[in-house]
Amino acid sequence: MEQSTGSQVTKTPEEIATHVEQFQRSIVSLKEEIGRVIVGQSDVIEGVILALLAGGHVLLEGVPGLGKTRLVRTLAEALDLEFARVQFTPDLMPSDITGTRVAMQDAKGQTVLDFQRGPLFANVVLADEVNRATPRTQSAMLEAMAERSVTISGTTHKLPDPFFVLATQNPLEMDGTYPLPEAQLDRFLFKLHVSSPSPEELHTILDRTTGREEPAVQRTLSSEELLRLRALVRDVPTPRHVQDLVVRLVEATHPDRATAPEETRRYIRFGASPRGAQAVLSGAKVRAITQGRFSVAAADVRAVLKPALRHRLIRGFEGEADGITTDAVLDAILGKITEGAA
Amino acid sequence: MSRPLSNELHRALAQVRGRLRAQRVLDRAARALALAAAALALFTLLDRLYLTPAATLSWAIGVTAGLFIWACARAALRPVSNGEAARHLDRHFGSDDRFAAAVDFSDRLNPTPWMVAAIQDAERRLQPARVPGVQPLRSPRHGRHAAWALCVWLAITAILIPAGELEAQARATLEPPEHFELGVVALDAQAQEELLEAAREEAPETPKGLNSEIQSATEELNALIRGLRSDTVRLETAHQRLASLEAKLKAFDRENGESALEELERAKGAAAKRRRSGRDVSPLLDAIREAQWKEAAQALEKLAKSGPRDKRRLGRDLERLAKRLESERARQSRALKKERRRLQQKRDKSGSLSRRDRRRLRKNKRSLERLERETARAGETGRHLERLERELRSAAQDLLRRSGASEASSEAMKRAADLLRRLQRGEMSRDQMRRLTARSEALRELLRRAAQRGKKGKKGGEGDDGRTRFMRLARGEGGSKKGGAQGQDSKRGKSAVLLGRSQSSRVTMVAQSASGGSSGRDPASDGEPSVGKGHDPNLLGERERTASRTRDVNVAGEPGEGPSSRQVVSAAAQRGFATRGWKRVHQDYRGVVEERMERQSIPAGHRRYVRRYFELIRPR
Repeated sequence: MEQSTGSQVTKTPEEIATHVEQFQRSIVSLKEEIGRVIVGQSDVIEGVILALLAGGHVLLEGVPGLGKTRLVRTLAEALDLEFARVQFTPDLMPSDITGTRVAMQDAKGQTVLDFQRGPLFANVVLADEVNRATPRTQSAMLEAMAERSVTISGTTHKLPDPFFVLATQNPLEMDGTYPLPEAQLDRFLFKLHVSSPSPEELHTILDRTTGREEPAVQRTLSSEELLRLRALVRDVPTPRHVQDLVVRLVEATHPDRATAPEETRRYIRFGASPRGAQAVLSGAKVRAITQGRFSVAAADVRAVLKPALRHRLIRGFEGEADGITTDAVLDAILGKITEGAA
Repeated sequence: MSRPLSNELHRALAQVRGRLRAQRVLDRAARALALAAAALALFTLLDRLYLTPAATLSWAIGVTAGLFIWACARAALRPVSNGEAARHLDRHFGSDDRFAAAVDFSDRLNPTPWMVAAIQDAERRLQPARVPGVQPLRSPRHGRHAAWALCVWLAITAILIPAGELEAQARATLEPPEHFELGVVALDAQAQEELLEAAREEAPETPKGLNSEIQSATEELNALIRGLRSDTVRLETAHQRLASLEAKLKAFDRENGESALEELERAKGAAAKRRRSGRDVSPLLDAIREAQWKEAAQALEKLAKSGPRDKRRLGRDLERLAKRLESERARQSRALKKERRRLQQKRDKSGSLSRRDRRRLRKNKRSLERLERETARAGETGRHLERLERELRSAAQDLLRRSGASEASSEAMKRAADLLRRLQRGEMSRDQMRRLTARSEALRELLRRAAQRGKKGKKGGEGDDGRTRFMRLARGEGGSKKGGAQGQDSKRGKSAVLLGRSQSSRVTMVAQSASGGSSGRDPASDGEPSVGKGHDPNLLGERERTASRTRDVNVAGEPGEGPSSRQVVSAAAQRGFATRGWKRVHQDYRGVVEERMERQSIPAGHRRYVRRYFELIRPR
């Protein structure tokens, strides 16, 4: 009984158990390394790691100064990955991020067009204030996120693997911004809210960042190890009742379904797409392994439901007028849809 | 090739399944019970208020019982899946769906190594010792509702008892005992006087021409009283004869009591409807209206003998009277038939087998039988009235046809007069029956009181209580117990009781001992002063004898011979008496006192005492 897992072949349940233990240890050490620099924000760190291992991208939303950029940088350092940061502005062009062909003289002295790679050609890309760029630039980047390749002048350039984008947006300053269309938001696996630290956490932040020494981050995972872990995640089996729970939860986000709660019917215009269900299950699989389990549990699904679906629900007029967040609707869905109650 | 679960996990799942099924049965049973009790409460209420047909409650009970059984059986027979049991295991062990996933993967063909690893992980986490605590049986989900509904139902059932049942219970409770307890009794002077008084009501007052049954009953009663006076009748025999006599009187009352009165009321009603009638018939109608049957007969005989002044008028009047009699009879007959039809329909409809329906059916049957009896009983008096009507009609037709008195009309009127005399005799018999009933009750009461006095005497002889001993000492008789021998003898001699005459010419109940023991002695029979013996028997004067058909029933309780306890509560003596009422009236009393003190000239210092008193007892 052998099963191919891409980069390796899993043979026996005992080997699988060993891999899962290693996985857990890796994740724990990664969290510890990130925790040296980033104080608090455990949910955000957990969400970023889950998305990283599930092969998705993350949209971070929070006011400036909460440590979003630092988190991404620390993650890149801990993973020993190439890191690039792009500050999105209205005059940023697609070629500025994807790269462009420039005229250069070769060794023979002839002028040739050479492709200069943009910042997207990195393992970890921080798209800071992604909503400030024009839709054209946004679509170029989001296409790269989905296809993991860039096509310039008819030539397709594959992006490095792993390719992980963390985009940030500021929910307050909306003047002069181009909010991401819903279709493009769907490309992000998770949307995470970065909240303000608690007073204790703020004390720790001040202690760590205003002194002479800054904490150094050790490399814990290589890109190869990361890819191996990603491959492991794909093999995690899902019991039928858990998959059924995912389906019912996603169904409940649609206002025209019979199982939809009252909140969905009132405040939601469009529910989550099948890509949303995939995101939920992918995130749940990663969480299952991080918890030392060999199969996905309902608790995993419930834990990742909000990060995976909150940006995929489109509110209706009443929802926007009443200021109802998608998180509130998802809470109502979680309250109504229970495991095993079809 | 599926990967089966381990035996331990299988056993654990089976245990949990069993518990889940039992809990489900409990929950469903409680819910079904709550609904059933609520429905039954509603139906019982409607039934008690007579808003539903008689059989509805029985049907409701049957249907709800069936639904209850069906719900329980359905819950017991519905299988519990392994997945559900596994989820309960997960919840108990906090294993995050490991068991549920293992059950799911074990059912799959060709499970992946990951699935096998998940199954093994679940099996490793199973702790068989903790499995019994996975799904402990808890109180049913709707248990409280079921209890409330049951209480409501029982309360409705208990509080709203139908009036008929209450009446039956009351009758059963108050029914006088059939037999009096026989014991050693002594008819003292008072009893003798009462017996003589009863004897004085004998034959001289007995009217003639009575019904034969009443005549024989009168003679029986007189003979019984004579026998008692002459000591030739045993007390036991006296009771038996008295019971037999009362049974006869009751039977006569049933046959000729109420229904006969109704019949006579009909006749009186027919006579009272007279408006304009001739002078000839007026005395007859007046007599009938006044229920003077004898006078009516005389008036009719007089008419038959002397002949009427205005024959046609008399003919018309007599015919009118006959018609009224007939119409009254027809009206009563219609009412009886209607009632009978209603009861029969009720009996036909209530063809249920429930206890309640059977009870109602029996009740209806009894009502129907009573109605039929009354219809048949209308017999004697009713037949007399029918014949009277026919004779009157015959006389009237004869008078109208011939415009003059004839032999036929005279004969018819004579026969009618004869019938009226019979009616009069019937009424006399009823009066005599009432008198006899009153006399027999008086005699029974006399025997009962005599027996009670005799018992008291026996008890006084058996035990020497403090009061009796004090009286003896006061009379200078010392501490000897005179009644002791009697008490012992009376204990020995209980086989038979005879009425005998003692040396002091008293009617005395003598105990005939099996061993020929001596007779008991009453201290009062020695001619000693009997201080506190009793009161004047005629203290309240003659007993009032009302000419009513009601019967007084005395049901007297007697103290038992079991152990008793006595306790002196001295708290009230030590702390004074207290009641709750003073809280309510304190302010009023105080106001009245203040008002009085303002009006009257009371020294200021004394007022203070009064005010202080009320202040001290002010409710706090």
